Amino acid sequence: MSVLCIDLPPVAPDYSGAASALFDLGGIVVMHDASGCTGNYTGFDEPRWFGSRSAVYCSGLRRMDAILGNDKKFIDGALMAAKDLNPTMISYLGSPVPMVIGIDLEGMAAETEVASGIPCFGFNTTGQHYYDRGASDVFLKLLRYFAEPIEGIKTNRQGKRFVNVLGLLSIDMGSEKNAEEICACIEEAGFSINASFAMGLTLEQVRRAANADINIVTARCGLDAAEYMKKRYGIPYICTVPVGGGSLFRKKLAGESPVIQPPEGKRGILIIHEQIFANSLRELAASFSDIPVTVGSMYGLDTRIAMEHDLDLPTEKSVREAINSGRYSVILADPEIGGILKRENVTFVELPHVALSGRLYLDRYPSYLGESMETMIRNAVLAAQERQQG
Amino acid sequence: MRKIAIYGKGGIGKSTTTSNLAAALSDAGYRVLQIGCDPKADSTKNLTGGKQISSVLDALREKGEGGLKAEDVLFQGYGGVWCVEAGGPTPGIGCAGRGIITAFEKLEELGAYEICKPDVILYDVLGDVVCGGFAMPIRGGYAKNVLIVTSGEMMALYAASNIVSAVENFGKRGYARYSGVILNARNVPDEEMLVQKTLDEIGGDILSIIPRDSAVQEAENRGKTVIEALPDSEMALCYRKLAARVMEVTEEV
Repeated sequence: MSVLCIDLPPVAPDYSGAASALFDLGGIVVMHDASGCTGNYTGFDEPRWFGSRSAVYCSGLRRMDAILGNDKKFIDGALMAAKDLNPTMISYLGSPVPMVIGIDLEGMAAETEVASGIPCFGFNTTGQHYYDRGASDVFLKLLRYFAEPIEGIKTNRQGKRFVNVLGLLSIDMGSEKNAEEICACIEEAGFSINASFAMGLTLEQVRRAANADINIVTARCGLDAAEYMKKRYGIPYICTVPVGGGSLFRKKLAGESPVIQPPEGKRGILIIHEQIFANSLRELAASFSDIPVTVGSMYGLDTRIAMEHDLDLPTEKSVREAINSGRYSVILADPEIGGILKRENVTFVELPHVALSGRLYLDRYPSYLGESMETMIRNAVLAAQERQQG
Repeated sequence: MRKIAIYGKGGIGKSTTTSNLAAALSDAGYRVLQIGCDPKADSTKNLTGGKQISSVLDALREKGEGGLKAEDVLFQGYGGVWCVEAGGPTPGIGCAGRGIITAFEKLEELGAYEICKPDVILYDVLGDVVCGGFAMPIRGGYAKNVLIVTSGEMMALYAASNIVSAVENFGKRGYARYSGVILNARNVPDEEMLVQKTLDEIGGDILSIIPRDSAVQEAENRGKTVIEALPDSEMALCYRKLAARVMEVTEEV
């Protein structure tokens, strides 16, 4: 019973992350489910869905289809849609039922590719992992399939320095505005955007991904792709996202040493959000104060980018215990988490996250860059300092 | 590396043939991994002195997903042949096909192939391709060649025909390729002719004829393969010839 979500909504699953990563690529996405998973993605997890023209379909998997193994029916449906839409690619995404009965999505994709001549992919999403894993699997598969060898493209650079931005996912950033401002910040620092995974991504960008001089991982979903490109092409990477005025980010891009993290202590700040975003906010706070900041992740704590005292918060119970523990005087987290904060004398700062609250607080979504974010962190630090002194 | 799936009607002698093939390949200097894909989990018994090893699903049941280690499911038998049993659910409940898929996923997660570094992987698969799980060994990334064990009996040939249809249905998916049959003789009159007649319809060749011989039973009674128990026997020679033939008709991946 300890894993029940009583007050918090369930978090965005892997198929939502995969669909969101594929959203801008001009392909057909077939979510192989009865309709609930597609509805979850389109209605809650994808802020860009309403008004968009992205071809995300539900396969309408039914009992007899599962029993009889009617793969052909779905392949034919995808082929028919492809005739009308002329897609760049076709992707099948799994959900709990295909996982339970072991549908071979990669086999279906292979069969569809033979019939259509269009690149087709099967992604074994199951609904049992978090959104970042689904997006990460998409990035890796796209790179393995489309990215061209480095020798063929590292020419005619005209003195430019190229950057791949890995981790511009709407489920983390809420809006295209955040992604655009991050890219603009990178360009202002003297770099050219080579590819932006995933908001704004095109197949052409994926093909030339090996052309980058550096990869910037702006959310955890981009980390495996960065490691893959480091191993495969020798492209170095940094994990950071510009926040506030962006000065720390620019220093990192220029190769300067990162801010030293103050030691853990009581009555500090707890930030529960996407890990790299939360890490970057922690660095911003550390740039002008010695208030201890802990990062908590509800999507599994990736130890590659975590500090020793950071928190893995896999259940509502663990979130409830952490925020009501008395260890933190200021908490920055999604407004839904504010609803289960019972302790007095704790300052709660709203930091919406689509992965948890979907479209509920889009009108209050944080702008990563700009005065308001800087002010938010300064005020959070001030509140923590006051509590520390009091 | 060669990846070979052995299919055939239930009770036709797949596990006996596969274990003897594994032992013969090992004697010939190959590193072999045999994966039993039958919920009964008795494919490799004759390679491990008649003892049944812990299956992947048994180990999962006991240790949970997080606690599983490679040494819980990987065992070495005669001649260093690596033995794995996928296992299955409690009889009468659960889903055996999904169990096979889970076992395969776990083997990858545990890095089993990197540990064994096999030259040849033999997948010994239960009877017919009854659902997605039992097609798992021939899906992309697993077996490249499918061999079918059959006798001249009608039901065995019928099953062989069904298996070939299933494999060919998956042709567009890049699954494994049907590469012939092993005739495990049951002393049916005109047995070779009957099998050949079926092959004229479904395609493929008889790769090897394994005669019916009491040496097999004698070795099994000692919990061993013929290769181990009676290495100088006629039957051992048969299995060694089969091993050589299998290496001829299968492809490196």
